[in-house]
Order: sequence, then structure tokens, then C-alpha cells
Amino acid sequence: MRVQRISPTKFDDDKGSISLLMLTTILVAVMFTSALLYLGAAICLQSRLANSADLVALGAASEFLADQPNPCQAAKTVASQNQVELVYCYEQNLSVSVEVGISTTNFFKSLGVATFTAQAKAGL
Amino acid sequence: MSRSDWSRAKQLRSFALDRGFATAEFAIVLPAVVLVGAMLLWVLSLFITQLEIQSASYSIARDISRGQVASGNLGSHLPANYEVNKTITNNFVTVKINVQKSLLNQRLPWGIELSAIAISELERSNASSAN
Repeated sequence: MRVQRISPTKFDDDKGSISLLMLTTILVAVMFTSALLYLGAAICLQSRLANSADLVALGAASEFLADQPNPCQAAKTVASQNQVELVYCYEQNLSVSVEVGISTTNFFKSLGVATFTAQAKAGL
Repeated sequence: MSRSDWSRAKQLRSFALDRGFATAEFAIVLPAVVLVGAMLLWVLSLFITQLEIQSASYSIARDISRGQVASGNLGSHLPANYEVNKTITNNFVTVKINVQKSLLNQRLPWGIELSAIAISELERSNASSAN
């Protein structure tokens, strides 16, 4: 019978253990970064929408100074200039409420968020 | 484990060929991990800068459209190397802010340019004075 000699450190050495740990850390960091990228993109998009909604509402409200005011038409023009879609426009008593939206990418659609929206109101 | 076994294991370990290997491995891999961490922070700073310039472009556009003086202290809220372009055409004011974000405080040639644009309609009285 042939006897194989085994070194005492053959099975209990720690070669490669730190590499494995660091690789895991990097993988977790990359996954975390990806999630952070999407979250950051969503926050930036929502902020841009909120700003655009304010500008659309202000533009629509300034239309009340015209001889024949048509605030919702003005709102539509400002919204298209800001590359957002006017979802809703309602004028009442020299004030106008608007809601603007923007279609999301496939990732957000898969999460069930098809459109980001923001509302604003302005008046004389 | 008895005391003698423990001593023997310790003795064997001191003769092992991989002694100090973990420390050396850690020293090699650590810079990569630090680099990944630094990139993560840089990406985070990009989003913060984007939010800042979006907010600034909106504020300037609103101020101009309402006939007010654009906020003079915006520069203190914006990062270095920013560029503001204001254009007034057909009753609309367009404010575009560009920022060049570089890696490692311009020590590396690579970077990214962020931009934000806001378009606002001039108020009636301001539109007539602008034209």
C-alpha cells in the first residue's frame, strides 16, 4: 500500500482567503454602486421635473396678463421647451395648476414606475 | 485542544511556507478596494453636482423671466469650472450651466461634463422690455 505524505499546512493554509474577501467586497460595492446610480438618476430626474413644473406654472400664470389669456397653451409650449410632457392643466380664478411628466427607462418600468410626475401651481 | 497540541500546532505554523501571506495579499488587494471606494464617492459627487446645477439653472431662469437680477451668489453654491450661458429668444429665456468634473482634482486627464438647462417664458412686461 502506498502512503502519501501530506504537509501539515496543505489543508489549513490561508492562501487566497484575503483575495476572496476583497473580491466579495468589490462585488458588493459594484452592486451597491449600480443601485446608487439608478437611485441618483431618479432623484435628478425628479428634481428636474419639479423645477420644470414650476417654470411651466409660472409661464402659464404670466399668460393671464395677456388680452386673451390661454394659460394651458402657454404651459404646453413651456413644457415642450423644457422637454417634459404636460399631463394636466387646470385654470381657475387667475391661477393655474399643472402636472408635468416624463417617461422612464425600461429599468424603472420593470419596477412599476412608468412615469415620473411633478405638480406646481401659480397665479396672479 | 490540550496545551501540548496547541504548542505543536503553533510550532508547525511557524515553519509554514505561507507565513505572512495574508498580510502580503491584503497589501496587494487593498489599493484596488480603495480605488473602488473612491470611484463610488466620485459618482456620488456627480449626482450632487448635477442637482446643484439643475437648481441653479432653474433659479437663474426664474429670476430673469420675472425681471429680477439673477442671484449673484450662485457661484458659491456651484463647483469650480462652471460656465453659465443665458440666451433670450422669442420671449423665452434659456439658461444652460456646464460643469467639468475631473478625476482626482484635475490630476488625471479624464473627466465628465455635466450640464443642466432650464427654459422659462418671460413675463409679459419683461418680454416687451427685453424685445
